Amino acid sequence: MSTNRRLTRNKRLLTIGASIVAMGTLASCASSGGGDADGQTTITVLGYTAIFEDNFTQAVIEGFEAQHPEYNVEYVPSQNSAEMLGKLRSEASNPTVDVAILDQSVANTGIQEGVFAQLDEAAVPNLANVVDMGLNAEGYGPAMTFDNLVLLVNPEEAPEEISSIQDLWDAPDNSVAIPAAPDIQGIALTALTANNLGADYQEDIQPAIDELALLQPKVTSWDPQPDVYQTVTSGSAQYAVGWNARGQVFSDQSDGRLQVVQPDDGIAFQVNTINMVEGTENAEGAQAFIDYTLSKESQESFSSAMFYAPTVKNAELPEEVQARVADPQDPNIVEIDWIWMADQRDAWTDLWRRTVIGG
Amino acid sequence: MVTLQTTQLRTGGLPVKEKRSAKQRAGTLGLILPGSIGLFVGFVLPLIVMIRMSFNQHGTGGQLVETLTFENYGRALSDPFYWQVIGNTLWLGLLCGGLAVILAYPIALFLTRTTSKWKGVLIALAIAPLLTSAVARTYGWIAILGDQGIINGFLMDTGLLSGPIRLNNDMPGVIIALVEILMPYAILAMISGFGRLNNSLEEAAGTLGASRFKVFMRVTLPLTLPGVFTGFLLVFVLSISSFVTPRLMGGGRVFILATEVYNEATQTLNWPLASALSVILLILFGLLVAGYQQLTKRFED
Amino acid sequence: MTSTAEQMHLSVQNLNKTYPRTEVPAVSDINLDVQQGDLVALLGPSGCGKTTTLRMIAGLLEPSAGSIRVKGKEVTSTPVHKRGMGMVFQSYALFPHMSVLDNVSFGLEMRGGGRRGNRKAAKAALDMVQLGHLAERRPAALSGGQQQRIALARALAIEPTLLLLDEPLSNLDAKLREAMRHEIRSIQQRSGTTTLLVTHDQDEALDMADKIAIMENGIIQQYDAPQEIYEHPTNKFVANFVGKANFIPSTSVRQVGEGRYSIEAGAFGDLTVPGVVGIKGDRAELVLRPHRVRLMADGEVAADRPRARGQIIASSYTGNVVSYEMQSSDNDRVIRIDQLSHPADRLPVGAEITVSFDPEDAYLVAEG
Repeated sequence: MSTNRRLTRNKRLLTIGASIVAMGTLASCASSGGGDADGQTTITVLGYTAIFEDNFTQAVIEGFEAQHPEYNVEYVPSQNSAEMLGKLRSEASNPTVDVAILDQSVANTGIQEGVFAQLDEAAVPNLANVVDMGLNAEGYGPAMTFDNLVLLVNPEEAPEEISSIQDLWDAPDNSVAIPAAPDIQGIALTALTANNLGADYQEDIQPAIDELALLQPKVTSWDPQPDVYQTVTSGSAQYAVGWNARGQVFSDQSDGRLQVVQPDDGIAFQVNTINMVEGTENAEGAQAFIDYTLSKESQESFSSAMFYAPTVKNAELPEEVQARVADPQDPNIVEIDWIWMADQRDAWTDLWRRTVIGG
Repeated sequence: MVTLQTTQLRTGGLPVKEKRSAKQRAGTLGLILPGSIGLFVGFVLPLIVMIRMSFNQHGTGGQLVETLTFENYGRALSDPFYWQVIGNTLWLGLLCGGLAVILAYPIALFLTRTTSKWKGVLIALAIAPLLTSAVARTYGWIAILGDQGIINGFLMDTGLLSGPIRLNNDMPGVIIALVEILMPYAILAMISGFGRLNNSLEEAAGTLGASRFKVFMRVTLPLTLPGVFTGFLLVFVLSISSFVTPRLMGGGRVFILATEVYNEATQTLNWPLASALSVILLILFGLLVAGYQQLTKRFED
Repeated sequence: MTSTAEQMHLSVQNLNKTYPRTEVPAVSDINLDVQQGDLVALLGPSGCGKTTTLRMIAGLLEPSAGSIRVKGKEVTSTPVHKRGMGMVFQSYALFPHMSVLDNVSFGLEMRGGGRRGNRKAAKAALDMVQLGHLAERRPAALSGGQQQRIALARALAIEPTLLLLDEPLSNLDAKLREAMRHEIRSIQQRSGTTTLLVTHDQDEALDMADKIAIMENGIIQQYDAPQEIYEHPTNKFVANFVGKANFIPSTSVRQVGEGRYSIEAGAFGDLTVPGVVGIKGDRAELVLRPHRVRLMADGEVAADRPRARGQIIASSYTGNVVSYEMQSSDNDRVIRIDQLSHPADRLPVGAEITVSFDPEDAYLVAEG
């Protein structure tokens, strides 16, 4: 009798539970408008355009969709992080985006403006595997990729090999391309220069600025177009600084005209974080997607495709990939506090314009 | 008199006439309305939003703080760097306007005067560059003016130069490319502004004893000046608001208001400052254009 | 030829103009001598080369061959601004950016001289055309007739060696045109300026000119005093272009004296008429002006006059004149008759009439 009663009760609970789930699904479908005819939910992801989009779609999104057939990912490409924040700002009251992948310092501005939401650790179990420097202290989006500043060389046009940031000061006139501040490549270069001079970039940046001003005659462009990789590949500049990931990808396509050199006098990391947008109707799907991007499988596959350093401890890269990706444990790393930097970017940009470029 | 009477007869007096003009007014309104709505939504509203934005604050870490402050204007107008940017922008506009007008003037004069049966084709050719995007033409100039470009290549091959001179990635390249890109506008403006000129006026001056030079100074030039003014103003306005060419060819060395606004808006995320700079640009050049028009009007009278 | 050229104020010799990429010359072998103080009209249909000739004389167009002399001095290669000729353009070509006075003093200014003297002289030129009171106006604010007179004052202010008028009246309405004819003529005669007038309007030419050069296809067909042109046209074109004309085909042409011929003129029978010297062959055409044809009253006898019978097939009324078209009884000719008559006497279409003329009023020209 009692077993029987318990059974009926369980049955009733089950029915209620099922109805709640069904209602929830229905509600989410109706409100997000993302429900497909076959019951799929759409997750909208905002990220970088061009090769990032291509590789991310192949190496990550396709894997996620295979593992989670209930979701369908729509990728919205954007030129840069600031543009992404602009879009998120303008639709803050009615977000169309669930997840955004963008630079850490810009993401931090977004966090302060309340554009992003904190993650639920239970919904993103892979957070446990993220390395310490990739975690946000308040539980916002973690690092999804690490990249680092590298030297780019066109071996056919360049008169000499270079191995360090310092070597740029010995380059011939009009041979170097540097994306100047406010571009974060210029900002990172400033920090590395300060480090080479034995200064703490958070204390006094003037010596580094003065040093960079000496580069003026060497530099052909402070704003390489269409980007620094094409500028070197085409020979418009013989040397440049750029990011490792794109440098490696373009190097493979360059027929030997673009060579990536890891500087032996300092590694500066750039961090892309993956964030859930505040006010998303689809927090569950968003977090499922974020969790997948932090999985061993996704991290390994995206790193192999685009040479970003993985941000999780359990990722293991094939040796030939590992050799072309900076190791977060590298002793050469100059740690840059991008959140501190977000405040300084304006001031540093002013110094660049007045002293480095204008000087 | 007769027509007035029949009108009154047919319409039965004045009230009907008023009704008709009210109908006409409604028709005029109907024609103006779509454009006005477009202008309001596409221009006036964003302008209001932008002006409002310029009074907000750029907080720590690029945070946007809604408030009401003049500090962006204070910063922009007290900082010599921005004065230099304004100066650069003006200089670029004046130089491009001047050069484009000087180069386009003989072409426009020729196209106005020619009696060739190919006149239409020639005019089409002169303005055909407008059919190509400014981006494509800018990249063309990059190829020509670059360190390994045609000009530097020629100068080095002929031994006139030992190393390349910097034409691209600096102000000279921007000016050269902008002048070429904007010249068709100057030609068009001048052709349409040369209406008062006709051959017999110059011939008349000749028969009255004016040498070719004097004919040009006393007749041709004064009569074509309105076209020259329009052409200059057009190129001036287009170059001070140009963005693509200065950005692609400036090599990060050319600081003008348009590139600064872009940088502040999309790189440093300082929207309030970007808005303040835009408003300053708007006011400054609105005043300039108004003053210029006053000047040309006085001249034409 | 050369000896007369020395005395002539303007002497144009063998002037030719062939435009590039055309085969037919616009003007060929123009010879024109103009006496001091004369007004000569170049008259012809549009495209006949009259304006081309004028522009070459002005120096606005370079001749392909030939020479132009003014007062015996060769000016063929003198640039336009050194020729010292005053020109009035069809469009008047007043400078729209200058006041009337500045327009008129422009030529004086180009010749140097003090500003004050120039303005005084310009004012005098304006007074000559009775427009002194408009000196400070802009040309655009003036009527067509006023603009015309200012253009004339501007051209005359420089005391030109030659005044060139290019269709000066064609932009005016009919009434004003006639008034301006006389005004221009009287100003020209008062100032004694040798003048060349280009026009397509025969009345204008006949009324104003001392001599007329009739042009067609780039060639001067006849250069003579107006009366000669009208009464003694040298060919069918001239007769046809100046005034109205009946052309009566004539056969059995035989010269009977210097410029006198015996002919058989269709329905009019055998006649002896004056004509162009040196007509060859036995066929020619008799020029008979419509107003010289007489309608004969019933029963009227004029034994010595040629006559023909016919039927009125059309008539028109233009105020002072009734024009009839008569189909002659030999059926091969329509003859036009202009009668100064009262409208009450107008004959109906279909009326049978007899016409005659004085053979001395007719003129024989070669077949055209």
